[in-house]
Amino acid sequence: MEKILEVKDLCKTYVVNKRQNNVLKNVNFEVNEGEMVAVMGPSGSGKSTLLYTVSGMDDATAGEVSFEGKNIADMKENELAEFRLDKMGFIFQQMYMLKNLTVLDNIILPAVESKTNTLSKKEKLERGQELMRKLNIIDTADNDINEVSGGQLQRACICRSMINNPKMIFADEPTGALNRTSSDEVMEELNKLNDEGTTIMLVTHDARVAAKCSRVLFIVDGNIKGEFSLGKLSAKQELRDRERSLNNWLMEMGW
Amino acid sequence: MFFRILKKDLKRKKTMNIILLLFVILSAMFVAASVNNIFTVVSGLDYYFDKAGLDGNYFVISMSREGDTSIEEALDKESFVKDYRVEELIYANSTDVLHDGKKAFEYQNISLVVSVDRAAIRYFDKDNNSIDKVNEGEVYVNNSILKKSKLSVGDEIEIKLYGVSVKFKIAGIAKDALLGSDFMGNPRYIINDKDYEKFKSNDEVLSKSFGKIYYIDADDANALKEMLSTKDGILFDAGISVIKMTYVMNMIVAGVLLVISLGLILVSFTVLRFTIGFTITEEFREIGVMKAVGIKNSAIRRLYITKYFAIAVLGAVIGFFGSIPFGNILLKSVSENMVLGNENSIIVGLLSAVLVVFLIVWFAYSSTGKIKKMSPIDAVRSGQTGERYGKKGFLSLGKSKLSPTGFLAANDVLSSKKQFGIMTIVFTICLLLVMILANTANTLCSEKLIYLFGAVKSDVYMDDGKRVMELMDGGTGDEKIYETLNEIEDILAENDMPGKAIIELQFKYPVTFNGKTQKLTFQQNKLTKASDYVYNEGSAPQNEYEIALTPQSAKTIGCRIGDTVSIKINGVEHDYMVTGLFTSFNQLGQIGRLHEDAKTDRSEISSAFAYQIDFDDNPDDETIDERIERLKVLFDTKDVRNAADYTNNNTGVSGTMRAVEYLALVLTVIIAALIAILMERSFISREKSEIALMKAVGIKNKRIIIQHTLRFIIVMVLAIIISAVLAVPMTKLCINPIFGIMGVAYSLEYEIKPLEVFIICPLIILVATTISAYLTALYTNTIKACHTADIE
Repeated sequence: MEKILEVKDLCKTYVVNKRQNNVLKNVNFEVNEGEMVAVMGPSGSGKSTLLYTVSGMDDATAGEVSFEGKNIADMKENELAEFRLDKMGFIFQQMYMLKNLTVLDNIILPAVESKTNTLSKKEKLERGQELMRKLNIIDTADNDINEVSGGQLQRACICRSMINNPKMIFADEPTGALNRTSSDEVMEELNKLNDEGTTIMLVTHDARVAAKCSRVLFIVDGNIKGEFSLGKLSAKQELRDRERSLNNWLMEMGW
Repeated sequence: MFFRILKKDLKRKKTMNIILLLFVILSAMFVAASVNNIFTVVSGLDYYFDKAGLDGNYFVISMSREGDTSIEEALDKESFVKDYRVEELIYANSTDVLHDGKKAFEYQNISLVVSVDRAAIRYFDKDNNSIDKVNEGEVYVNNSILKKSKLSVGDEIEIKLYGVSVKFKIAGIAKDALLGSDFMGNPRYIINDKDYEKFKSNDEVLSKSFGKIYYIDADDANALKEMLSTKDGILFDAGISVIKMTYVMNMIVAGVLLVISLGLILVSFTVLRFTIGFTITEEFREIGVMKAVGIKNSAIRRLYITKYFAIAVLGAVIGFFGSIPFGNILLKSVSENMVLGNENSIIVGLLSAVLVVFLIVWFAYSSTGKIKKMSPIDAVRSGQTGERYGKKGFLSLGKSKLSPTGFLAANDVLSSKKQFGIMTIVFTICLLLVMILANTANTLCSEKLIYLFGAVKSDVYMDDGKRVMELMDGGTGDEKIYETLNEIEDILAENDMPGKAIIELQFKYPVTFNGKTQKLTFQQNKLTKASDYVYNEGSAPQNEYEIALTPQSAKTIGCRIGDTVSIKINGVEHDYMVTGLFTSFNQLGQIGRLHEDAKTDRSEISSAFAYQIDFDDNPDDETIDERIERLKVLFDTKDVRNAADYTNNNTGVSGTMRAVEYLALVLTVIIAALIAILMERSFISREKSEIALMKAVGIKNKRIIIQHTLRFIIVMVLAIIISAVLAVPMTKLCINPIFGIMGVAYSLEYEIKPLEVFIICPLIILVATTISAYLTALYTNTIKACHTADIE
């Protein structure tokens, strides 16, 4: 498998009231195409910062983040926007959407905006509807965003992240604000996407969610303390075993 | 604890608090300046007359010999005359006042040379200080003639009367309450008594150019008028209401200022209400949190009201001080010829600022009032959490033909109808102010008002003093009139611009109705038909024994349409029927029109208007202007004008009006730009997470900036359309009453210049708003995609 993301000596420092806060300290890791990687760690360890920095949402203070061999730190603002639009998708913990648009309009907005997406506007609309159908939320297409449940909204966010067929999806605690049923549904969809070849990197607190990933990175105080390979999820029965073994490893890591 | 929360809030929400403070400053400044101006303008003339000591109610200007005290004797005798004062003067024509051997000033009416030491009223300098003393060799002149000339304070002029020549240095401008209005236009030269004596000591001056002004306080103005109609040598007599009327052009400007001021107040309060409502909505989430931890409603409200009170007081204090220079700028154009003042201006300004504070606290109180009924969660949800209740937009991105950026902008406007609706209203008010003023200024200098000066529309209006004087040489018979007109026509034909010449003549005849006799000026043009003129009521005189009157003259005589009055014309007294009413600015509205066949005689002409020329070949405007230049040379006079310029010259106020229009345009541009900056900054502050989200999904910053700018363009375009529709009716609604004050009781036909009013002015404001919104929207550059998750 080819490397899709390579992170070298990544540092991120915030300066608040002249005080430096080194959130990420020389982080190094790689993600291969088709992998589903979970980032775990205690609160304040730098998980979300890591996700924002490697996805180009935020600048790195030092180090290199290469996506398909191209250092995103070298990208200009417009290039970065195109990168976010066409190459990657992002799913937030909260179901952020533009409040003045319907659910479907929110989903197709990146497609309509994209210049590399060569589909016609009608085809983009159909693609949005198709994704919604796939994620079982087609009934909410014309609804305003306040008219749908959190689980439906999060699935709409997944649809939006998928609309331009990105190479990789980043998700910041995608199930963090959902109940268990919705959480399972969302993870099922992410697993399906991963099965279809989309690389996924997500941050989670939930070992049950992480157990569905192929690899887990454990971060403490801005450093990757260790990683645990689970392999591809294949059967329901296996999930319990994966969860158990992951929990054991996490305990070893001091979770 | 209470103040710690407040301090933190002021610090943390710095941007929104600064925006609110700026709006409060603007509101306080506009309201304090505008309310003060309203008081000043409404009481303006009374204040000015009172300050000038113009406390009589009737004024007479006479030409008499030194020692002729017949008017004084008559006034002494009459019981209805309570008091009177006399001011002596020496008449001078514009040709008598020279600079480097040439005419120093251009004016048509006779001017008055007076001694400051013999003045019966007070004159004022440009700083509104009373002119109590004039040094020998110095002179104060009216601003109206000085500003039209190339001369300025410090320059030298020479007054030359019957061989007496005295040189003067212009010491400054003088504001003259009785004769200083644009409409009256009789310049006064105020000099030292010793210089005055130099003229008075000349016998010829005394016998030919000596006169007096009587300032009379009488109980019965009608009886006084009747008594004066028996006296000779009276050039002008009028009551205080007529004198006030002469300031009508200045009052038009003042009235327009009232419209501007009311507009500014409206804009201020609308923006203020919106901003407070908007910022308090921002607070709801925190209010909900405070409620959730058990803080009482009253304590929460006190906290926010204290915050808004603090901002309101700070803003009102700054705004109050700002209102003083701002108010002066607004009033400057009106106060050129008048002493405008408001003894209570500080108190009025302060009260206005206090009103703004009160309103802000009240807005804050009512806006926070609903938290009483809310649960903590309701309060949180009323904040901008991204949730909303009820469908807003009706556009669909997938089906829209607009670009994504255009769609997002249009959808935002349609989704937040209240917010953008209020902005549209504010911009509409701003645009209407400029459009109304442009329509008024254009009308005041358009040929559409020509009928108000008692003339029909002609290609050219030519003031040829020499030829007019020849008509008034005391001779009889109308042949001379036709001779003069033929002479002009011959000159025109010889110079390849054949045309017809006509002239409006004025006669002063005694009119008797119900046993009372009064002198009234009548207008007649022997070469036009009485039916060629505009009548507002009744009809045109159909034969030589019918007349039309203005409402003012009909009121003076006491007659109505259908009444028969007796007029003695050319020594023959006959009955004349009043057939119609018309509007005229001539003789301050005290005028009538005779039928063209009425048997007037040249020997009775009291004055004549400009010669009017209509070319035979119906030339276009450009050719007319070209011929005007040729006529100036041919007839050796500068006073040759087209219809629009002739009206403009007669109203004498269109320049000031134009200045007010430009002032309003500049003000509107500033206000629109400020509103755009402040609103956009608050939108960015509120929509920070949405902007970040758009960046997170890959929308370029440039697109976001364009989207935000487009929202203002959409609002402005809407405002332009609405204001264009409302411009004419609003002009009539606001300006008709102002014209009504000056006797135009009937609706005017306004001169609408579509290019200027509907395209250029709105475009200027649109460009200013767009640039301001665009530059402010550049601030979105500082928002990163990762700020999506930031919740304050």
